[in-house]
Amino acid sequence: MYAAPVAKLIDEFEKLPGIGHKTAQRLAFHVLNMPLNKAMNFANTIVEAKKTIHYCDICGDLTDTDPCRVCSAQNRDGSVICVVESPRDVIAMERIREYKGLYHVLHGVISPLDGTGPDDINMKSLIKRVGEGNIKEVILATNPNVEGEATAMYISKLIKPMGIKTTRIAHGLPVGGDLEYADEVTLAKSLEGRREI
Amino acid sequence: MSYVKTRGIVVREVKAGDCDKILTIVTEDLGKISVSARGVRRNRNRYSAGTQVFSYCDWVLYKGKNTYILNTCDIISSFYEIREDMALLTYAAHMLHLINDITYENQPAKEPLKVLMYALNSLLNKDRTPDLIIRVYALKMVQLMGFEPHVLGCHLCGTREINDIFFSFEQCGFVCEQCQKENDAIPIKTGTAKALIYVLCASSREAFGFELSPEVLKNFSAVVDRYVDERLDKKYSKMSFLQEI
Repeated sequence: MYAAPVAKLIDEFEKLPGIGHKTAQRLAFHVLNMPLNKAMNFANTIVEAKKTIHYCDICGDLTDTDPCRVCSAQNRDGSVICVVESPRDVIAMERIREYKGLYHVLHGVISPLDGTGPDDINMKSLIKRVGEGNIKEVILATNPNVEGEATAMYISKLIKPMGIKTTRIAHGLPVGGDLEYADEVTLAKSLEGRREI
Repeated sequence: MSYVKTRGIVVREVKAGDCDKILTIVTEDLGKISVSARGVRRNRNRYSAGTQVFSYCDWVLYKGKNTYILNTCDIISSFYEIREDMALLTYAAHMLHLINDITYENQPAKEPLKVLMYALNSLLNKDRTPDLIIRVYALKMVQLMGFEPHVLGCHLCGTREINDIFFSFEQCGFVCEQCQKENDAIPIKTGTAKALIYVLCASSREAFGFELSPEVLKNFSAVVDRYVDERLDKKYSKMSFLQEI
C-alpha cells in the first residue's frame, strides 16, 4: 500500500517499545513532513548517540567518556557506592541532589523466576570494586519488589563478611500519601523502619 | 460492567507500558487468569504491593474483553520472607512454575492452591528441609492432575508381599522383584516407599508433616523428580539455579 521506503520507516518505528502500528504510521509521516535538514539532524543524533555512548568501565552507567563524569568527579565521596538496577535509577538518584557518593549499575536483577543468575548481571565488578579497599559503605538501592529485594539480600551476604557497612534504602509511606489507603505490607515496613524524632 | 470476587495468588507478572502490569493469577474459582493491573507501578498506587509475585489476595476484578481488569485487592499474605533469601526464592519460583503449568482458565484450582499455600508456609519454617518440601509439593500436584503412581503393591502382579521394592517409571508405580526384570525399574529404599505412600494418602495439610534422613531424601528426590518430569513431559530446570547462587 505504501511506497517501499515509507513502509520500511513504519516497520522500523514499530520495532520500538510501546509503539504500535498506528503510532508508527503517525511518527513516520511526521518524519516525512519534516524539512530535510531536521530529518538529517534527527538521524545523525541517533547514530552519534549509538556510536559514542558506552558503559563506564568502573560503574557500568551509560557514558560518552571513560570513566564517566560521576566516577571521575573530584568532589564525589569515593567511599560510598549506591547500587542500582539501571542507568535510569542513577538519573532518579541524582535528581535528589543529596547523594554525593558513587554508583554501580547492575543492569538487571537476579531472578530465579526468569532464570537470570548472578553472572548475567554486572555483579562481579561490584565485588571487585568493593574488595579493592577504599569503600566504607554500600547502599543497596534496587527496586523494592521480589527480585530487587532478593538481589539486595544476596549482595549484602557477599559484602558484609568483608567488614563493609551495607545499607538498604528505606520502605514506607510516600510523602503526601494517606495512611488509610496504604497497603498492609507498606505499613508494616514503615512501622518496622520507624525512627526516633 | 459486572465484577467478580475471587481469591488467588500472583504467579507471574509482566511489565506493560510505563506503569502497568499484566498479572497471571491462579484463583480458587476461575482457575488461571490474566489480569490487567493499570497504574500499579506508580509509587503512590495502593495496589503496588498486592500485585507482586507471591501476593495471595482477595481480588475484585472486572471482566474485560480478553483479560480481567483489576479493581481492588486485599492482601491476605505477601510471603515477604521469601524475598529475603535467594535459595528460598528459587524453591518458591519452582513451585509457581509448576502451578502455572498445571492450571487452566475456567478450571477451579482450589485444591492446587491449597497445596501451594501449605508448601509455601512449610518453606518459610526454618526447621524444615526445602528439598523435601518441593518434592512433596510436586508429587501432590501430579496426583491432583490424575498422574497418581500405583503404590499399594506390585502394579503388575498385584502382590503386596514385596521384599525389595522397585519403582517403574514405565508402569507408573511399585513393582516387585520378579516383575521388575522386564521393566525399566529402579530399586528404592523402604523409607522412600513409605514416604511416597504417606504423601499420596495424606491430606494436603498432613502431607508436608514429615522429615527424611539425607540418604532417603536423596533417593526420594531422584524418584519424584524423574516421575514429575516424565509425567509432565518437561524438564523443570529452576532447581539448577541453586548451583549458580
